[in-house]
Order: sequence, then structure tokens, then C-alpha cells
Amino acid sequence: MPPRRKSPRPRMTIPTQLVLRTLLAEPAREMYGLQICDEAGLPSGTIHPILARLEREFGWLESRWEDVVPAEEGRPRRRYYKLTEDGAERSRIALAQAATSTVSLRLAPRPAGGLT
Amino acid sequence: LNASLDRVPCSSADIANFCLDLARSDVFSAIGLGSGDAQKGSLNPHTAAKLAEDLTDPVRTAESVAAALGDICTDDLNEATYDALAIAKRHGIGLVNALERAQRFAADISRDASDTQLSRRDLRRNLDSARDHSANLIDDLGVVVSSLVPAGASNVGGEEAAKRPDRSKRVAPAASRVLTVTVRPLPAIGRARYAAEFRTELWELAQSGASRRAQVAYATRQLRSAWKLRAALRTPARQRAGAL
Repeated sequence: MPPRRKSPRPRMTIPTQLVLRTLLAEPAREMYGLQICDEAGLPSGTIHPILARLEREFGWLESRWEDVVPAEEGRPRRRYYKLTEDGAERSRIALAQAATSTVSLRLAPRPAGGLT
Repeated sequence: LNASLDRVPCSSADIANFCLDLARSDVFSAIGLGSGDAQKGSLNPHTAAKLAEDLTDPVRTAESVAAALGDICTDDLNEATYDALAIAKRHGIGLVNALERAQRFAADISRDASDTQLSRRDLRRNLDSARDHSANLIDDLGVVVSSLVPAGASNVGGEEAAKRPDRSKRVAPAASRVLTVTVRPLPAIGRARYAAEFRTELWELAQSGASRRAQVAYATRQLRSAWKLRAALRTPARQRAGAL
């Protein structure tokens, strides 16, 4: 059997969409895990598998350790995430497509309700 | 799971019950699933091996709880630790019984299945490993019970409580222990990174004034999604240059 072809974009689950929307709000801004959780309104534990896929499998994200000396700052380093330029573009497209399919799904079964 | 976490308990006994119930229900559902398949004659070697691997997962969860209990109880000697540990131990024994059933079930599969020797060996090895883990869990709990009961009994005075340092903004050791276990199933390539990342997040939570209960809930959520993270990290990395 031929190997299954990988999709060029992640499955656009609701949590994935929320993470992407959060990162796209300010694409140049770097954010750390808890910050993304807070702003996306997702519970911790949800986002790391999503971020890992977006970064490792699709290359839409890049991450780096914060450039501080923990002993001087008195706190551990954060891991910052940011959309790549290409990732931001692809995220916009994927989110738009996801929104379109959601809208069409929602409208199809009930054409009444004000349409003339 | 989220609904369960909204009801995350706050006493040592409740935390022990909560986590060990999760582990035990996972074991029983895995055994039930496998038994059903075996009766229908539809269990293939791969499913059997996967089942055995799944069984080790809840045991790891239970193991983390056992490790965490020591810290919880050290912090809360005045909070009926003996009861908490006795309950945890009872649950641990239930876990061992469940795993022994799994072991018998594995033996049945080995007799009946016309699969390869390799799959059978894997299945037996995984189940042996699961049982060893659970036996260690029981031993650990026994040691913690016997070492903490006298201390707990003698440490009920108000003076001790008055001397205790302010625990606000401190990382809960129990949560820290759970995170240690959380990164164990991750591939070596990401283990150190996520260990550091989770610890930073836990530290941030503690600094923001999160209670010990909230910190344990955070760590438990990470633990529950560890296998998803592992799957994500095991996916081959995409070739960056021009691949997208």
C-alpha cells in the first residue's frame, strides 16, 4: 500500500485555530507558553502538542530560549514562540479556509431565517 | 477531563484518590477492551502489544502520584496524612490486582494467538514492566506510610505551624514531581527542553500566586497530554528549505 500523503497544513481544530489567531494578532511578537494559553483561553496541556506540531512538522513556528541569565534575573528562562513569515501567511490562509467551511456548514442546513 | 479538573480536590487524600482513580480506570478500561477483543477472536498481535504498552502508561501515572504523595504529605502533616496514604495504598493494591489480571490475560493471548514470537515477547515484557512498576508503587507507599505516621502524630502543635515559612509563591513539590514523570515518555530529543519549559511555566504560575492545588492541576494536565506531545515530537521534522 502506498504511504499516506501528509497534509500540507495542520488539522484546523478549534484549539489550533485559537492558537494561530493568538499568534497572528501580533505576528512579530514573541510569546511564551502560558501567555499563549491565557490569551487563547485554552487550558495548559493543550497547547504544547499543537505548538510542537506547528513548529516541527509544518515549520510555521520558530522558538528560542529567552536570552537572559537565570541567576541574574532570579527566574528561569522562558521559551518564546513566534510565527515564521511563511507560517504567518499560511496561517492566515488556513484560518480563512477554516472559517469559510464553518460558515458554509452552518448556513447549509437552515436557509430560512431572514434570507429572501 | 476538563470537567474533572474543575473539580480538582484540595486535600491530600482527595488528590491521591483523584490521580489513582484515573490510573485505575485506565487500566480497567484497557483490560476490558482487550478482553472483549480476545473473546471475539479479533485481537491481533499489534493490538495486543499496544494494549500492553497502554497498561504501562497508567502505572507511570500512579508512580508519579506515589512520588508526589511524599511531598504532599511532608507539607501537610496536620492534614490526616495517614488516611490519605492508606487510601492511596488501597488504590495501589487495586492497581496491582488489575495488572495481575492483565498478566493472566496476556498469557491467554500468548497461548491462543497465532502471531509471531516477537509480538508475544513484547507483550509479556511490557506487562512484566507494568507489574514491576506497580509493585514498586506499593512498596513506596508502604515506606511513606510507615515513615510519616509517627511524624504526623507528633507534629500537631500550633508552634510548628507558626514556624512554617510562608508557602505562597513557592513551587509545589508535588507538581514538580508530576512534571518529572511527564517528560519521561518524551523522545530524548525534546525531553530536556520540555522539562525546562514546564518548570519555567510552573515557576511562573507559583509566582502569580497559584495555589498548590492549581499547580498540581497544571502538572496533571501536562501529564495527561504527554502522549500527544510525544506523538508530535516523534513525527519526522519537515524539511524547511522550500518544502512549504
